[in-house]
Amino acid sequence: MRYAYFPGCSAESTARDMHQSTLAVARALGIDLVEPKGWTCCGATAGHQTDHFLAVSLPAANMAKVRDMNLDMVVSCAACFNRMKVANHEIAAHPATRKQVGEALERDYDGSVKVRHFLEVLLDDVGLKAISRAVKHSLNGLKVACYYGCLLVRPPKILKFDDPENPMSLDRLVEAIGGQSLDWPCKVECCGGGLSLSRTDVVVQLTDSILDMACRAGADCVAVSCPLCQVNLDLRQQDIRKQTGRNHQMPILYITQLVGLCLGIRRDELGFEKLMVPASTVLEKVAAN
Amino acid sequence: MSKSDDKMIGAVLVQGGGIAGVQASLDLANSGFKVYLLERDAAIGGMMAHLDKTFPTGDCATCIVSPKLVECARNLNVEILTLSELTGLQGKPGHFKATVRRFPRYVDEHKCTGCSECTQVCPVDIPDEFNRCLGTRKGIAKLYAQATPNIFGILKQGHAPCKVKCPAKVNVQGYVQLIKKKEYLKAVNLVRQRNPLSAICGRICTHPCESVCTRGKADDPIAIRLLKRFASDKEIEMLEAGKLALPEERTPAPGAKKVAVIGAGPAGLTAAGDLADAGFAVTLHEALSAAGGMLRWGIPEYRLPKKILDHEIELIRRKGVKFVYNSRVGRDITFQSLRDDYDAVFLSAGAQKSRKLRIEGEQINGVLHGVEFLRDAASAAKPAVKDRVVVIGGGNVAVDVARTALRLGARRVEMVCLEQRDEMPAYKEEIEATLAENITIRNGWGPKRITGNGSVTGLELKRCTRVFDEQKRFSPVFDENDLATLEADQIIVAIGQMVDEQLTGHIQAQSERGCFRTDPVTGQTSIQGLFAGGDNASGPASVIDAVAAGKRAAESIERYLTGKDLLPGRFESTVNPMPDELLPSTGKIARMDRPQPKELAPANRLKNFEEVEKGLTEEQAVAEAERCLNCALCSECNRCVETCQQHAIDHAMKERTLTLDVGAVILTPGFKEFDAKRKGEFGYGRYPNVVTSVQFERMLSAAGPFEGHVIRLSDGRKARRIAWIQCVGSRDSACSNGYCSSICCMMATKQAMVAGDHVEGLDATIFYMDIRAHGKDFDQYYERAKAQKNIHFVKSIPSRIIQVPGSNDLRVHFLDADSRLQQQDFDLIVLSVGMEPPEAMARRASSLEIRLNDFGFCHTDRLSPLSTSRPGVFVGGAFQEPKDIPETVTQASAAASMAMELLAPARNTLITKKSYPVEHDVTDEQPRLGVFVCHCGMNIGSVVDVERVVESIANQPDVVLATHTMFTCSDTSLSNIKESIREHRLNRVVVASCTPRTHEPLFRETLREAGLNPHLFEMANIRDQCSWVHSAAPQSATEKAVELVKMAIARARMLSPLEGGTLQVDQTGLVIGGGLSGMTAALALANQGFPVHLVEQTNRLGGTLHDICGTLEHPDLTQFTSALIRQVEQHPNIKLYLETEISGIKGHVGKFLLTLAKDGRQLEVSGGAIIVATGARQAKTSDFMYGRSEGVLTQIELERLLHDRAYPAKGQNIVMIQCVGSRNDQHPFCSRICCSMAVRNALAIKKQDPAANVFVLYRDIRTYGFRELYYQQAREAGVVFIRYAPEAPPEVRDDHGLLVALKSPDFPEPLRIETDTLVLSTGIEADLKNNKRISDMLKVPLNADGFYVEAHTKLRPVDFATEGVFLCGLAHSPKFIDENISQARAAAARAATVLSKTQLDVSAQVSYVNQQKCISCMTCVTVCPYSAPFCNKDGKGQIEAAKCMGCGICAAECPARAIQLHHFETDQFLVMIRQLFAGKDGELSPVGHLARGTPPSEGSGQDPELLTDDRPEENLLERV
Repeated sequence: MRYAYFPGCSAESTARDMHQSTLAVARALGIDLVEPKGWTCCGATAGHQTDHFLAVSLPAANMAKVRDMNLDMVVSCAACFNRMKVANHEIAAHPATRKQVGEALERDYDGSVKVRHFLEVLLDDVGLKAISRAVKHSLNGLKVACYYGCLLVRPPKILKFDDPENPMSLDRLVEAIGGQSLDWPCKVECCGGGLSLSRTDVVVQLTDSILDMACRAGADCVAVSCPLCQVNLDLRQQDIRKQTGRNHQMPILYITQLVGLCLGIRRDELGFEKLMVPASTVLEKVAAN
Repeated sequence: MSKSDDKMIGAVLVQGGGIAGVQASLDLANSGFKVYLLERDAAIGGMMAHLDKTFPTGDCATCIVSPKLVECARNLNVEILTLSELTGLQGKPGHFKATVRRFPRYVDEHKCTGCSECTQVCPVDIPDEFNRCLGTRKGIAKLYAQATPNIFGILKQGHAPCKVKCPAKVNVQGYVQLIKKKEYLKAVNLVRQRNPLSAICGRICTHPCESVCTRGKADDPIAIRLLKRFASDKEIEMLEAGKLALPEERTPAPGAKKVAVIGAGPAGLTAAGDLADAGFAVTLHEALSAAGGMLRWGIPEYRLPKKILDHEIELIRRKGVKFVYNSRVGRDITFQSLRDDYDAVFLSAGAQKSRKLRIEGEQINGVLHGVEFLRDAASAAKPAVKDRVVVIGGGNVAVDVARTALRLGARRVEMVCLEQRDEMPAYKEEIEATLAENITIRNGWGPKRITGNGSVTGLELKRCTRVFDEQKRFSPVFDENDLATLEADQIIVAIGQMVDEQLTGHIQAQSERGCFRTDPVTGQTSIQGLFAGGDNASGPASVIDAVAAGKRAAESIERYLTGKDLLPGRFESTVNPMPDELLPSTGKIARMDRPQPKELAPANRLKNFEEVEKGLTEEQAVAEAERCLNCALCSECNRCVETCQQHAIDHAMKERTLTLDVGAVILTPGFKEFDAKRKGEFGYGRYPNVVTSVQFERMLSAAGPFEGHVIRLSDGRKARRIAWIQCVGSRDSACSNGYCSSICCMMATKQAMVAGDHVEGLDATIFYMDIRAHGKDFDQYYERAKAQKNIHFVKSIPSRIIQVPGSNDLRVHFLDADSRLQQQDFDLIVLSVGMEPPEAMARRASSLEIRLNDFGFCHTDRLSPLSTSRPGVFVGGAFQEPKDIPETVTQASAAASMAMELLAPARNTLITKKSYPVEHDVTDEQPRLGVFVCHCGMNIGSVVDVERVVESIANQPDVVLATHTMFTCSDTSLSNIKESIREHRLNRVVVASCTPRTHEPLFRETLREAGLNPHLFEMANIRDQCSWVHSAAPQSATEKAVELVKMAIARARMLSPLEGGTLQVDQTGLVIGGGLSGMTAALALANQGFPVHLVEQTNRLGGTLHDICGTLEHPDLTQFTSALIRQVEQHPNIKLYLETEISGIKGHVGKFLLTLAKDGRQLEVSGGAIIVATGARQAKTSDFMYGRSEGVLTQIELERLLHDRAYPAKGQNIVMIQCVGSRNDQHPFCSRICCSMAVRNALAIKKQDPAANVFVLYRDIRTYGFRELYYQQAREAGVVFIRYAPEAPPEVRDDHGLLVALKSPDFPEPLRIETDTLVLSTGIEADLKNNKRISDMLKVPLNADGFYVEAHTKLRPVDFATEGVFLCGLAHSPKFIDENISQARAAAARAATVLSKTQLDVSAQVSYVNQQKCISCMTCVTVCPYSAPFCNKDGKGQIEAAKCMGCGICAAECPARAIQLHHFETDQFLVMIRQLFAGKDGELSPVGHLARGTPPSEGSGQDPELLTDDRPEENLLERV
């Protein structure tokens, strides 16, 4: 199992824990991840909001590089994943766009690189059975609220990732490593990622309601797979406490961190120290078995 | 073409048995056409049968629709074909050949009496689609309680995965269901139909069935093997307890053909049993000393006790199979002698030799082989076992060997196998049992060498790195460097079996890989008459595989010996898998544990061969059977077949195709509800408390799954806070449904109103976009709902619903009136799902050559709304465009009118008229009563002691025959009744059975066929009123039944024959009004060949049509209008009266007289039916500066300007105000058309000048149906729609230019629009004066708004309560051109049901006035809803029989008791009451002395009171 792995910018900054844990899990499961040389921004930043052409050509530039590697492209950031898929769709569906992008890249790119989220690799290529077998420490019935956010599943016709209203990929993975995935209503609610800095007040409201539902559902932690969601849900708990007095103290973990933990990977290799809300309850529970 | 070919076919095919299909069928059949009514479902009734109440009257939907359905079923000229679909149509109008596919019902429609016994024994509960899966139904059931036809049917779509996967195709679901019902013997017998080794397989079957069990997707598969074992053990338990006897021993008939079976293993036993059952003389040759094969010699007793094996062998022996032991082919008998002595031979000798390892040391003493070891262990001479035993192999035999060795005394047993633990071929439970017994298993090792010197000392192993290659083929790879050694005293090799090569040597049939080569389907070998199966043909396989091979061979041999083809139609080919998508969904199933059977503790196992696994307890077994999901729906357990005394059930019924000759086709297939799961944000299918509007109807229905209780599905708690979300799947381009479904607003409003009666403290919220209450009197209903304190209308469509964790409350997110995001919690959410075209039509449209529109509805034109793209094929109802019940019924009649016009020459050519024998005159006869008391199978008989009822009434006066019947309504019983009438010269008949509602007509018909007047019949309902309601008290129920029958007898003695009259029909139509509707109706009748008098008060035809320049779809109507007028003027059958007033109307249905006044002269015309089409007019206004400012126009005026290109739109600001003078206190109704008109004019302006600003100020935009698309277009074109509240209407000022000021609830700031043109939508109003005049003459009612009132808002939308008078057009209510056309044609079709007959039957059950008693108060004239009574020339009341509907109101109201209703006369009831109290208190004497015979006739002077006794009735009734 060999893939071109596009880390994206957050993997080297705010989501280094995601990056670290992805690599560690891949290693443990025999997945070979190769970084394309000279990768650039995927356009999920201001790019795609300001310039439609930039929003397509930035991801295309990266995918063109992967095209040469003759590998499927694996992405672990939901925003990158979304940009790549959408760009592929635009290029494949509109010959004019393809031509325009080709001119900018000074090479033709046909939108054919297969873009896959790291979760898909775990679910489809490695398989839940193999992961179950590889588990060294079960999650031991840990109650996990799986949170998908918007970028992984929408627009469904393009991303074709999972049911946009009630996705189950993360839940199945959590069950496979011995956790109890919760049926809770906010799996795909917006966390306000796009307004994180400009309208913090709105973000506090949105994240508060999501975390509130997770608490009511009895979650021990929330599992995410998008760096924007993670930061938002993790970081804003402080603001929520200040503004509303509610202290959720809800650990927000990357799914790869949970999987890594179960595979017996050392915590420091999984970036646990980067969490704002410490995951001590989770760690205790897993350690208990 | 010959002349006969040219004749049109006077039959019509109607596809779709909803209310539209039923209405069209009745209209056609009642006007002289044969009708085939096709319905895809098992009963007619369609969506209406699902509804609880209809608004605004609050009628029970079923109660109003059922009589129509029953009428349809009884009509001789309507042939109802249920479970049928029109799949192809050849030919041309007037001459079609229709191909019809009929799906099997599995119940003979002609035999089923609807008694329901089958359903009572059916063990299968499956989701009830009729109740939208809110409850369950039985596998055999009626579609719904009041289903027409009243017969049962079975649901099947294929077989369950368990049955399909089973090699022997055992009906697993069937026996699991029987176990659920504790029918254990029946369960075992069902197993044995396909597998005689039930108890054996219950222990050792490899149960491939469980691996595919659907339930396994949710939690664990059903413990099928253990259930089979449980039922089989029950059988043995009963045998042992003496509660059950073994079957009789049978012997084959002398001369029966002879079959030899070689080998008494599972395959041989199975085949022998089947062949003996088929009547052959079967001899079973077994090489060893006892039967069973591997079952006896290979499977240790701790897994399969010999007692069990012997039991099932004995059952086979008793079928007449002869067992010959110690008879080995080649040793004791020769193959040639077999061929000589028998007609056929089945080889099933098994694979009895162990495979060898072929490694060094295998020959050393102490190396044994598995099969032989087990065989010895099973015999008396047990093999000696050493201390340390190593078993080589990982299959079931190896496991058996290991465990047996342990039991025979080995101290340590180890297993070695190549495979890893999860690759081992032995079953998981066997491996677990092995480990539990402390046997160790070394996985991943292969034997290299057996060491020893004279006797075994050990085993050398090498590491096995891979067992199977990429293709999953056995291809082990070893690491010769990774070695290990095991010490052992004894090594047993159990790596597989093979067929004894000696056997194949003796029998020279073709073989390969050491097995006999056979045809995979038939089991036939290369030698004629020789069949082979089981391990010696397939190689080592499981017991169930061997059984399957035995079954296959037996089927082949039987066919071979009876000279039949071996291949076609074999049993296995009838087992078809259920399509995956139809399998039960497992997503929402609550987890339930699979039971664990008790086991012997490992410590206790080793000393003996006692069976390790114990069976399930009864509790466990029944609970486990309950977990079955009934994948195949019907389980084919055959309980219904055994129970049905009519022998109506046939599980082998097949689909059929028919061809019907018809002249025309009407498509009324209805609609499909939008699948709410497609709007994932509302959580339907995920959150239990989100239901659809149709589910909510079922919830409200008293006959529904919750008997009218409105509950939360999550916890069954009463739902108090309920929200409706409108437009789910409608007005939603995102799901490709841009149209409006038209009905949902009123449905939700009604549901909220009705729910208020069901739920105390209801708090209802309706989230909507626009409330579309555009129908007649709808707005008034909406206003009433709005006025309710507990119903809130919120103009907002929620963005999503989430379920609050822990509470199952639903939290709705929506924007409130101030555009603020709100959240509100509810108990229950109702999604108002929209209409989509029926799936079947999407599939069939191309083969029927019908064009569909973009959404898949039938394509039609607004000016010919009933015609499809194919001539001769007409359409009506929701398939044409979403619509409500009245419009659907209207369109159905209209479509019928289209067919009538087309086929007018063929009218009355194919209809059946029944003729009856001359009625026997009973006038002077003493009553002779025959009483038939019905068991209705168990329905009555299980509660009421029917025979005692018969005994108790047999000696009642005048009863000459009293008897009981199983099903009185069955064909045989009806013939018996006729026979009895002749034989016993009966002149009165009483049937005590079910309800007269469904069955009285049938029995009356029987009387007529036997030459008795049908009114000489009386019925007692001892089912509903006795066995059903008093099922817990059979004694009292029987007593009550006796009383009811005695009362019926008493009344029957008083019955007298009644003759209904006939009246001649003047086959001329009378149409009042010459507008669009009047002209259309007149043409529809004239084209059918009826002369028509068309009366118009103005000097030209066309009416308000002249004001309309165009429609949304047809910009210019001038041509249409003039062509229509020309057609009317030139039609030879139409006589036109312009500038003519109606000055008088007289007469009744069949013969009306209109007095016409023209130019001061009077003229009288006559006809059989009247159509009122007097129209309405544009409402006038003086509001909003109309008439005072030049810039203010009405929509019609604007339309005219636009049409004439006289409107300068350039750069102007145009404001339109909707609902001017409508929906207010003066005009509370909605004029329906104004929104679309405004949209049309706005679009026209925008087209003329895109820069013009058009503002439409509205309350609700009511562009229903496909008109919604134009509303969308208008918004896209930039027309601005601004809402205003009725309490804050726009203000208009004209100070040097028009100014419109408005405070909209949707804008925070007040708006001021400088306006160049202000356009007022003034709507339509009734011509009150004219309507009043005509309605007085016709004696028909007007509503508060001055429009005529139809007989019934839902089901008789174009009829008046007065027979023979019909209504259409704007005189009924405001509507569009296409709707007027439909309604006019509908009125014509209804009129044609009268005009097509030369004479009408007048009911005999009419009222009459005793002229002597009449006090001339004329109360009867006032109270009669049908204007039947009148004041005659003597000043007395008299009743026009032709108008009387027999309701009896006059008889009840008459203060002088001068009125009696025939057949319901006072004395007939008094005798019943007297009978009831006869002898009870000693005061009322029996009624035997009462006079009988001739009833009083009108004016005969006989007083009913004189017939009873002197006591005034009042006193009598007080006593009661």
